[in-house]
Amino acid sequence: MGNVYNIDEAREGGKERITGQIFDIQRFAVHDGPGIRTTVFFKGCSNRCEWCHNPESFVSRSQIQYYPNRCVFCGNCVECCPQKCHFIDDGRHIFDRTNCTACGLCTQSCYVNALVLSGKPMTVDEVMEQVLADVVYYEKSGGGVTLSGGEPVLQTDFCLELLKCIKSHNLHVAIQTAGNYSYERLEVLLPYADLIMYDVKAYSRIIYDMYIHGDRDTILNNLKKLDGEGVPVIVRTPVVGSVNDTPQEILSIARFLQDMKNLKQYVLLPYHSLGKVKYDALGKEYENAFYTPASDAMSELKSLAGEYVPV
Amino acid sequence: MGIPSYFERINALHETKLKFNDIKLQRLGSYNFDDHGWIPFDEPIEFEIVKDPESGYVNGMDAVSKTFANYLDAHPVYIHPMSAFAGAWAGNVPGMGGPWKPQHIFKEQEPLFEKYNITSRGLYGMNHSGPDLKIGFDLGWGGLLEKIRFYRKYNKPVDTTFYDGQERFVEAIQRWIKRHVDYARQEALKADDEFVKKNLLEIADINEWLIDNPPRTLREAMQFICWFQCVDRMYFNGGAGQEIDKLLLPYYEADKAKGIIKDDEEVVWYLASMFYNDTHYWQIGGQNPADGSDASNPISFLVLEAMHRLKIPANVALRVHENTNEELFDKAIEYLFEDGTGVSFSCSGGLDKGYARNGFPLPLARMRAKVGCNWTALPGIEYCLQDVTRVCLAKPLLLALDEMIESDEENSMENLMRRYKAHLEAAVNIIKDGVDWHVKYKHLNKPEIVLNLFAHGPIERGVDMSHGGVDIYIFACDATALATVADSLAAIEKFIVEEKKLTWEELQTILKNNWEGAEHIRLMFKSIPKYGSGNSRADYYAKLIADMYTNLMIGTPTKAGFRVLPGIFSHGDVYIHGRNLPATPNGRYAGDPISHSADPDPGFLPGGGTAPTAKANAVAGVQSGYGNSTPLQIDMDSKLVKEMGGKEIIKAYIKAHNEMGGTLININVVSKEKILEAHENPDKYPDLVVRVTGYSAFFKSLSKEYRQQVVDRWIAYD
Repeated sequence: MGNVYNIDEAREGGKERITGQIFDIQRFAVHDGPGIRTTVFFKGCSNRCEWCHNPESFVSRSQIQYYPNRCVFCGNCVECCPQKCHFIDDGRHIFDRTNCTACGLCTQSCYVNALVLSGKPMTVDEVMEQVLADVVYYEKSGGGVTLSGGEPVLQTDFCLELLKCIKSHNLHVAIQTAGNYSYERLEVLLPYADLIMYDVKAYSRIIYDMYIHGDRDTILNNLKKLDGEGVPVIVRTPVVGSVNDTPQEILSIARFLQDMKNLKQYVLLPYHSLGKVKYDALGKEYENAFYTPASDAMSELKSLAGEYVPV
Repeated sequence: MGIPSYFERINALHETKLKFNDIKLQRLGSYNFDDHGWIPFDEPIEFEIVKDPESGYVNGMDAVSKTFANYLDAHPVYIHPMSAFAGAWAGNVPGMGGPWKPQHIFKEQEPLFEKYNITSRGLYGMNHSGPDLKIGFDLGWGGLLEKIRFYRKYNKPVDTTFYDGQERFVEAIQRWIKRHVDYARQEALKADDEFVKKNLLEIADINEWLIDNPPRTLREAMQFICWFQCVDRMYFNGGAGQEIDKLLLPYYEADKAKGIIKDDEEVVWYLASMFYNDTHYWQIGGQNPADGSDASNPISFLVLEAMHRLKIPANVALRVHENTNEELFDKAIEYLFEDGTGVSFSCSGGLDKGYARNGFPLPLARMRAKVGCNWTALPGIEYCLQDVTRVCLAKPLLLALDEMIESDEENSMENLMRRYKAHLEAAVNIIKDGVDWHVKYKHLNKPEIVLNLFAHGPIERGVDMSHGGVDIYIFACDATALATVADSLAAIEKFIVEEKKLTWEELQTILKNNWEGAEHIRLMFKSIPKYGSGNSRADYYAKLIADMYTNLMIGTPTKAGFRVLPGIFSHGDVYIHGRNLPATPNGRYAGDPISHSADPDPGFLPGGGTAPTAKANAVAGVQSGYGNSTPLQIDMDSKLVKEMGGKEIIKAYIKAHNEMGGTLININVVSKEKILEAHENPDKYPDLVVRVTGYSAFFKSLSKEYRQQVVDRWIAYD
């Protein structure tokens, strides 16, 4: 599973101080399940799809994002960096990541958010402080909390502790997952989940081979097992132009889903390229031929899938 | 031509309004208030201004009533052929706006207003209380005249100026109406179109009756309202209405029972015609005072329909409470999404219990209707002078900072806060002294000649509404610049006290130099976790300052014994309030706008975003809790809202804020692309209406500064 999560690190200092590696908490999230929600984004993912618009979620360790257009060349980062990764040269800010340990000191000294620390260890209490701020909105809207990522299920121990705490407040919980792990990780979380939003990115093996680090059979088998548990499931597919935007691909997924007992909805989401700026900020290349499917094409695919499953 | 449909009639009113707006913009360049209903007549109105010989201005009932009567006698007549009603106003009565009599100017206060950056003084303010038009409905103009004459005889005052002036004013209104009757009949004779002819004759008949008699039908009652709206606006822009659905229901039901109204579409046309006449503030929904049950009725729905069809600025609030009619709520949200703007949402959750805390019974608090930009008032029984009094929270901080540094005492946060409180108290006391002065002398300068007629007491007692004519006197004062001062204090604490990046003296010098040569320090001071982010030091200071302000304002009455209710509201005037304010430690330059009302500054979340729930929590957390409003301004991208299937979400959001003690929510829903495009090229969207703060306006009409203010709020959601 590579560098996605280190449980020993999370357990350091005892269970009461267990931490999760979180890269964002979004309030008033309205696309991540029913009602008004708070979405907790877990860092680290074992699928790392080529088109992902959250590249900062790939690895669990902290990373520095650099947005050059915000830099005012104050030089604070140059002064405070113990690894001497930052230089101001001829009116340009150069960030050499070679020796960067993502200690975050430069982000603390950057007052214009040109340098941003992505991902930090958070305790259950720290996450809950933000989650509980909007309880009244969850109650009024039928909303709640969504664990997303990255892949939240990979941080199993932390997820479990967080879920127990969320459920002790009687809040609705949704987990967004992409299924590439041993099933036991998800199984222990299910008693605390009201909804699973499960991503099936593709059916064809070749798409997995080319674009997705996850194991196709594991992902599809885990979904079948999940369906036997009685938890409502929404399956989602990001429709990526030039990858899986064909009737054949979407129909294959829809047919695979059609016998599910607990499938509430199959959702097709159009790919968007908004993640490019994040790739740049992490110093990563983002060259590809992906495109956003036309709305007509999306309607067509939705209509085809609708013959097999509720869309 | 056949009979135009109601849709066609309303559309004609819409088109005329856009045409008039273009003429207004040609004359004014831009204007930062709502459309109001005024008509840009071609010719100037020639009339005699009667001045008080003592001051040389229009002061006192005699001069005011004579000037007003002369103006009405010279005022042009107006009937839109597609409107259900006659009448319009051309502008405020010229000459009325001069200063009070020299002996009534509070000269000692003048330098203090400047010292504390108090730009809306309350003192010298006008109207901003609620009328009870039922008084007019019961009596008609003729009955009001008889009432004035009766009480003059009954009270036998030595000085009859008050009654003489009120009588002169009502008679002038009657003459003005009579001229419309004659005009309508003349125009009917000339009209070829059968509908126009018939409509004009109906308008003539209605108004002929209304000159002396009380309204009998819904259409007559609403025509009466139109006359009220016109004269109320002419006199210092009075804009308060009341619970329009409750007010009109008896006429609606009677007309329905008698078969006078066969189709609700006709009522929608009446309402659209009334909104075309003027943008007075009205409330729908709300509660029955006795038990808090929902008070909405069929008129509530028809009001929404009329606003939706007319699509011009209108100021209607839906009063939200625990038992709000869900169907009405749904409809209001539906039209908000469709039109981009619509009703504002006045929240009983914070208002009713808050007002009751002043010692009033809850049923009375439920009667306090939302009839102004941010404010509520008891119709006809309360003089409250809302929304014209503001105290700047930021200037006392700068004064305290200077004073502390120049003193021999050690510089510290505690020292600063102690001095801040003293200066804030001084500013609060200036406001309170102004209230006393106002009540003492206003009636001798600018009497409430319009509202006196529609209040319970002034005519009966022969005493102006501002001076003892009604039973309840409770004032309001809105604080401004909360986020500016909260973020400033958090920045001082972090960088001066804790991290010692600068000394107090260095900060003072930098502020005096307006951050010149200190851009990096300015950015550093701007970078603190801001008010609104939740549990930050700025949030702590926002609450501390809001509580301090509330306690200072409510803790003691004015010297004359009046209570002043605290709220937090800047109106749309963040530029005006910032113009004379030096640089502040939150990174703001001298002269830049202050923060808006109690809202956190745009992009307040770490990283620069804005979460509506975080914003609503922040505003709910600083409510003063005594019945004065502290509004929440929300601007949503329509795409986002549509994608998320957001009607239920927005409804839940409003309900939650109401439950958390919120008092008012103003919402715009427009796509970011459209608002940016309209900012760049205002002519492209001539009928784009936005809610600037509590009032709505054509976006095109606003100055670039005001448009920018609205645009900034949208951009903050990135």
